Order: sequence, then structure tokens, then C-alpha cells
Amino acid sequence: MTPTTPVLEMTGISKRFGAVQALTDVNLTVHAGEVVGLVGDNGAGKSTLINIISGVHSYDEGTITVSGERVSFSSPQAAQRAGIATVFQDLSLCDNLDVVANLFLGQEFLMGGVLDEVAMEKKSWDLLRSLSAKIPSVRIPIAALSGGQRQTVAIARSLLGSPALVMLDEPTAALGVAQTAEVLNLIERLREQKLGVLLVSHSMADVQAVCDRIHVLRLGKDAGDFDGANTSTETLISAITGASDNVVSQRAAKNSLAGAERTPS
Amino acid sequence: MTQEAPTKDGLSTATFVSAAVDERIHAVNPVQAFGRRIREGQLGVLPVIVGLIVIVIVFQTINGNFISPSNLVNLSTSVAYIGMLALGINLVLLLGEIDLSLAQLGGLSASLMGVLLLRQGVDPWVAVLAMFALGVGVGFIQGWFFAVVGIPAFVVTLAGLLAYSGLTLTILGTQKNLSVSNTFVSDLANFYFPETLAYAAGALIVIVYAGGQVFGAMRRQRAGLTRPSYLGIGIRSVLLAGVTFGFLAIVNQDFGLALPFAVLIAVAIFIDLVLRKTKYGRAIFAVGGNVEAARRSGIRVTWVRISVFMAAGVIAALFGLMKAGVTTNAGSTLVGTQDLLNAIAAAVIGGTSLFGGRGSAWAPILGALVVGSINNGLYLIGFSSDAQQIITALVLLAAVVLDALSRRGQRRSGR
Repeated sequence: MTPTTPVLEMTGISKRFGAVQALTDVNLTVHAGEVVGLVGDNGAGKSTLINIISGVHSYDEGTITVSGERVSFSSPQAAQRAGIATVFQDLSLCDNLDVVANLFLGQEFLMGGVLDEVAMEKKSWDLLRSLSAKIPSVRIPIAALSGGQRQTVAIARSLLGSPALVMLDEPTAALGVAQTAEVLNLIERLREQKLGVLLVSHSMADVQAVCDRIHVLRLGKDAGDFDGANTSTETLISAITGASDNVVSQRAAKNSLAGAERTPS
Repeated sequence: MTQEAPTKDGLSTATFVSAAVDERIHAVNPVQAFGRRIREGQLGVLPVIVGLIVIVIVFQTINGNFISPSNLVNLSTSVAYIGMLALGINLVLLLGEIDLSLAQLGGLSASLMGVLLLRQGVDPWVAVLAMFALGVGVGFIQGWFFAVVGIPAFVVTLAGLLAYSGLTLTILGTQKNLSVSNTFVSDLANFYFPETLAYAAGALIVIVYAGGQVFGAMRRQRAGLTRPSYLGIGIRSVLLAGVTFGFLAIVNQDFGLALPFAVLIAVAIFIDLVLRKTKYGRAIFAVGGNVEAARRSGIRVTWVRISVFMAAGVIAALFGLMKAGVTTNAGSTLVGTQDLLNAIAAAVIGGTSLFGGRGSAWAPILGALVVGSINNGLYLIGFSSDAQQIITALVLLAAVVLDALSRRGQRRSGR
């Protein structure tokens, strides 16, 4: 890894909700042009961490720096201004508005106090082009788009504020095979544009396919930082569940062994 | 073929005009575009225009007086106040909410104005100012209860409906009848524009519309985006001119263009521009479509909601002023639930969705034309008011079914 300043560096992050210690001493680093996967079982603290990074929740201890500058967010808008764009799982799109209106919602281009539709539409095409997105028209309502296309629009919108880091929360959760592949391509394009990407996902296959590093959380603590390309599913699962003799990892190991016998590769 | 025009964000157009296969370069074939809109349930105002034409033809064949100059003048003044109330309700419907109190609020403000003017001897300007202040104030209070306290708008405004009809009776005191004939109110309602002025205003509207469309198309072409076909712009402009001048030519044979109808059109144009061309209008649609998304985009949802209720209150007061002038009545019988239902029907028939976020400022106008024409036509033929209500209800039902179907169609046709 080149010794550049990371776009996001979290050190010693802790967060309590009353009696529940949701996060304990979590350290996470994302560099520019790097895709980092964040995985963990339900209740591992993924959501809490996402909410802290996107400015929804505050944290009790630790420091966050964005592009070398120490930050503390009081609101999602503050996180956006600091250069962190979040694509929430529900995408936060208005079904009744067209693609252009959704992309620029809340940050419209104005020309003498009036919406500058031409400039916005042009910029929309630019943006969607740069992501090689397949959108038939930017003037149809979001309701008429497929799930993958909606995800594309949501990701494109997150890029409008020229962020340093894009955080994607379960971007492939409700998508079919082809659409998932499309979104993964999109993530690789974000990496080519030298953005830091934090991908939160339940899908081991997706994380392994696209991530440079995979960060595992377990019970609110760091449970390892793995190389994206050379880590097996069993290793990840044992890190997630915290035991190599766990029923889940045993089963996974057995299956992959059987699979390896059938298709030696 | 490339021209280097520096744009707002410093990009050149060179990247856009690179390939002939680019889907944005060729002008859209109107027939294909139309077919696509039908499949996606984006018909907009088309069904209601077709319906309106059918209504006119039917009534004109049954009773030749329907398009007579005097009847058209009559129709235009009654459409004016139905449409005005519908414009107010339309704004609230765009938020995905409903305001049941607007008709009563209009009645209350008209009675307040009448009492101040005739019984207290207040200056007409002050009386009118008071009625609009009442509209804004009540709108603010209702909006606050809905947006800040979190009570469903349906309940808040239902309470309002009852409260305002009670208040109207209180303000009027023992004498429940209040005639405003021979006051400035009825003078305004009976003001007709001189022929030349009406034609000039019509010509201005058509020219500004066509000019704006052509200018927009040229800007889009310069920016390398698909532009609407000039043929389509021409057809729409000619149609607009035909309807405008046809209407003006007929009413000018009688009294002419009535002030209430002109005010209705002016207010509708204003609301249309606000809805389509401003950040605020975009925010209204966003809140109506997905509140959470709007909030995350930094839109001040609470303020948008309250302000819309306030705007609806102002429009309700204007409706009260108009209806009082047209019917020369500011007493307790000025408004009834019939007004409210007609206005809701008008907005929905015109194509504004009951589910929020879809509609336009023209929907209530077109819907009011339908409702007004049905009532007027049935009256001409000699139907009772019972039959008028039943038929308006059936048309409303058809409009709501169309709304639900087009929502479903839109969801199905994902590309």
C-alpha cells in the first residue's frame, strides 16, 4: 500500500447504547482508490459503524479523520460536506420524480432563481456516462426503472458532491444476478476514479469479487483485516462467527471440500 | 460537427456530439413517444381532455345552447370558483395529504369580510385584507398541527370543517343571510374585460407559450440533448391558440371574458410556474413522493408542509371572495359540502393523484371544466341536482380508477 493519507481513518472508535457496548476500539482505514468490504454477522455493529461514519450517530471515544483532517459530525449533512457520501439501503429516491430531479434533489442548479433543467440534464448524462450506466432516459420517473438502475441512480447522486469516500449499504441486497454484476462493475468504476469505497454487505461472493481488503467485525470488535482476493470464504466465515469449529464454518468447509473434489481448480 | 462551447461546469460539448447513434441526438418521434407514455401510464392530462371533448359534443348535440355565448359566460364564472378551490386542494393533494376544511374556510372568510364591510362599515381594503389574513393564519395553524404535532391532516382539517361552519354562524349572529350585491365584491365578479384587451391577453399567452417552448428546445439542442420536435411545439401552440381564441370569440359575443375566470387562469399559471420551475415546487413533489428521501436531501419538510397549507388557505379565501361575488351571497348558505366534493373531484379528475407527488396546476382547472360542464349541461337538459351529483360521483370514481391503474402500469413497465 502506498504511503498516502487515507481518505477515512477511524481509530479506537467506541460506542455505547445504554448498557450495550455496540462498538469497542474499532479501527478502520480506507485509502483512495481502494474498495474495503465491511462484513459481520447480525448485531456485529455494522449498522452502528455506518451510522457513525454517515453522521447519523455520534461516537463516545476515538477519532475519525477524513483525508487527513480530524472531523466530528453532528448531522448527515455535515458528513456529506466533509466528503462522505452514503448510499442507504432504501436508496432514498422519490419514485414520482424523474432521474434528473432525483439526482439533484436538494442541490438543484438554478439560473436566476429558476431551475436550470438543461444544465442538470447535461450533468446527469455526464455522470451516468462516467459510470457507464445503462439508463434508457433521464426523463422517466424512478418508478419505471429496475432495481439495478435505481441503485445506479442512487450511487450517481452520491457522487454529485465530489466525495472522497462513498459508503454503500447492502447495494446488492435485492438484486438479481445480472443487476448485481452491474453494481459490482459500478463499484470498480468508482475505484478507477480514485474514490475510497466502503462496501457493507452480507454477500461473501460480492465482497470477495470486488474488495481489495475485507474488514470483519464481530460483537462490536475488529475481528481481522483480510486481503480481498486471496481469502477463502471459510476464513471469512470463521472470522465472522469467531470460531473455526463453529457449525457454520464446518458446514462451509465440508461443502467447499466437496466442491473442490468435483471441480478441481 | 463538434463545437466547443464552454458550459457552466467547464465541460465541453465535444464529448456529447461524438456518435450519431447517441440516443440524445435525434428528435423523438412523437408517435413512438406517445406509445411509450401510454404503456407507462404517463398520460398526464390526455384522458381528461378527451373526456371534456366528449362531454361538450354530447351536450351540444342534445341541447344546442351548450356552447351558446351566454351559457359559456355562465359556465366560465362557475368554473372559476370551483377551479379556484380545486387549485388549493390540489396543492395539498400533491403533498399526499388532504384538506377537507378549505370550502368552509372560504365561506368563513367571505362571511367575515361581508360582516366587516356591511355591518361594521370597514374599508373594503381592510375587509379583504382581513379575509386573506384569516386564510393564511388558519392554514398555518392547521399545517402546524399536521406537520409539527403530527396529527393526520385528514383529522385536523375535518375538525376545521366543523369548527369553521360553526364560526361562520357565530360571526353572522342572528341574521344568517348576508347579501353582498351592489358592493365591490359583486362588481368585481361582474367585471368583463373589453374585447380587445381579452384578445390581447390571449395572444400574449399563446406567444409566450410558443416562444418559451421554442427557446427551451433551442437551449436543449445547443447543450446536445434531445429536443422536443418543432412539429409537436407547433401543433400544441396552434391547439392552444385555437382553444383560447375560440373561447374568447364566443364569450365576446355576450358579456365577454369575466374577471373571475381570468383570475383563475392567472393563479393557475403562477402555481404552474412555481411547481415546475422552482426549487420550492420540486420540494413539494419530493415530499409528496418520499418524505424520508426529501428529508435526507436537506429539504425542510416541516416548512414545506406548513407553507402549502398556508397557500391553500389563501386560495380558499380567494375562492370565498369569488363565490360570494358571483352568487352575491356571503351568508351561511354560501358554501356546502358539495363545494368541497366538487373541488376534490375536479383535482382528481384532472389527473392529480390522491397518493401524492403526481399532478400539475392544470389538473384542477381541467377537472373543474369537466365538473362544471357536467353540472351545467345536465341543468340545461333539465336533470335534477340529484342526478348531477350522481353523475359527478361516477366521473370521480372513473378518475380515481384511472389514477390507480396508471400507478400500477408505471410499476409494471420497469425497463
